[in-house]
Amino acid sequence: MDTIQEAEQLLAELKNQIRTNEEALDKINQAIDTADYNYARSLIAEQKEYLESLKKEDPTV
Amino acid sequence: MESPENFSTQQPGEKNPESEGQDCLSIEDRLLEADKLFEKLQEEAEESSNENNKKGLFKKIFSFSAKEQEAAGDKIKDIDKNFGKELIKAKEEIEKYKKRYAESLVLANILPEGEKKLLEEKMRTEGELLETRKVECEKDLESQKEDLPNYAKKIETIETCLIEYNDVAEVISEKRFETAIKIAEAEGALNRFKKSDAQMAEPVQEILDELKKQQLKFDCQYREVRQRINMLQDDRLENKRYLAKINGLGKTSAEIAQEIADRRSKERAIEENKKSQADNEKKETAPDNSVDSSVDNSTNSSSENQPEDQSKEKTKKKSEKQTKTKDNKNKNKKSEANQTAKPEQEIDLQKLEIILKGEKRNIFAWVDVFKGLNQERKKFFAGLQAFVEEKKDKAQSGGAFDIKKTKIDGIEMRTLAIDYSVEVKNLKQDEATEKVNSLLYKLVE
Repeated sequence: MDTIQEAEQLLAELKNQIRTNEEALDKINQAIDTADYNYARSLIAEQKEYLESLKKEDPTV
Repeated sequence: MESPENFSTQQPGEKNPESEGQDCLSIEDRLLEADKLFEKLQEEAEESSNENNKKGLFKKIFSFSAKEQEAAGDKIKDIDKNFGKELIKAKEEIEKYKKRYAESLVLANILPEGEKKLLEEKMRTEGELLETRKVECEKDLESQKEDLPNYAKKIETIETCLIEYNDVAEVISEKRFETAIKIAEAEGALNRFKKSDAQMAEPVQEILDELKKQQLKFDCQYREVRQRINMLQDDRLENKRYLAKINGLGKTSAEIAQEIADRRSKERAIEENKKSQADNEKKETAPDNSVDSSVDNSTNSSSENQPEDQSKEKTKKKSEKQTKTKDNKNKNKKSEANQTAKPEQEIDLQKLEIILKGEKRNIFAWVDVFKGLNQERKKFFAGLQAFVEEKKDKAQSGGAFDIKKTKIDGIEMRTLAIDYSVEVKNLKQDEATEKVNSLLYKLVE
């Protein structure tokens, strides 16, 4: 009886871990996407700002 | 998920064939391209299209950024060639002039008064001309430098992004660690059930397979994030190089050497200041120590004769006595009393090293031991395990590192923990050593 109870408890714990992991995998994917987006955005925004400042200095270029 | 291979299209310093001719494009064209990419990125963030579109867009952005970076690099070279070198030349001529001026002063003394005045006038005019030329060169160079990208800001942005990726990496490490423990538990249970209860073995096997699949996904995510971190670190280094190059424009080698010497002496002064502050703090805690030892001496034999392995008991007795004798003292005194425990811990580090040297374990087992001792530091050890794996991975150029097979002693493990604190947690070497020692100190206790 003890062994069965122990086994059931372990199974429940492991299933719970799988569920938590699934959620974590999704969240991590989202976090990576966000970080990628933020990095790309800051790269392009800074470059835009720089080019705009060059254009402002010399509108003929 | 975008594949890491496509995240960056070019390594820093590597020549991008597409970048050739970037200089030929007008600023208007470059700005149009940047605007277009920025708009697409905004759209992407709002309606999140399929993976391929996103991958393609990121590729375009990084390619554009690499081209711009290279164009800026070429511009720095041009400025150096046309304005920096000119300023250096002007400065060198002034130096030569100063020597000649000193010589002419000697000569002037033996010349008749009229010729002496003429020579002095000539030297003065030449000096003024050279100085004016230098100032003009400086102005030209400064105006050219204003047209360069703001590398300090770029470095700051990269560092902010690095923090974001490092946070993600830490979360993944924690999950990998949790999952590895559950896999080990499941494997243990599976072996037991195979012998005793075959019916139970089946569901455990299924769960174990699922956990292993998830672990592989975490590994994959971790590798991707590490690759991004490595790329950003390379970018940061590259930008720092550019910044140093810009700062060095128009400077003679003597000026650069002087700047380096000044910086070093400043750093030394800061270090010395810190050291003297730490010494002062130690001195401030010293009177409290003497109070403690006098309390000890009144009831016990001399504390110097206590064997090291009784130090824990001694600390306990001390704190009990402190509680009795200092009930009426304020909270500040209590914190001072806590500080007095530090030197005793430092002495016991020898003991810690003996324990660490004692046994060889695989890294997984070491992390498990440490984690058991420091439940509150679970995150730290999860990060450490991932760091070690990563490090060994690199060291073996390819092939996966078998964390379960490689056995190391505790000293080596401690070194890895210190490296992790320095490289990932950005602590200084001495701070990292102190932190890791205090974490591992529970082994002695």
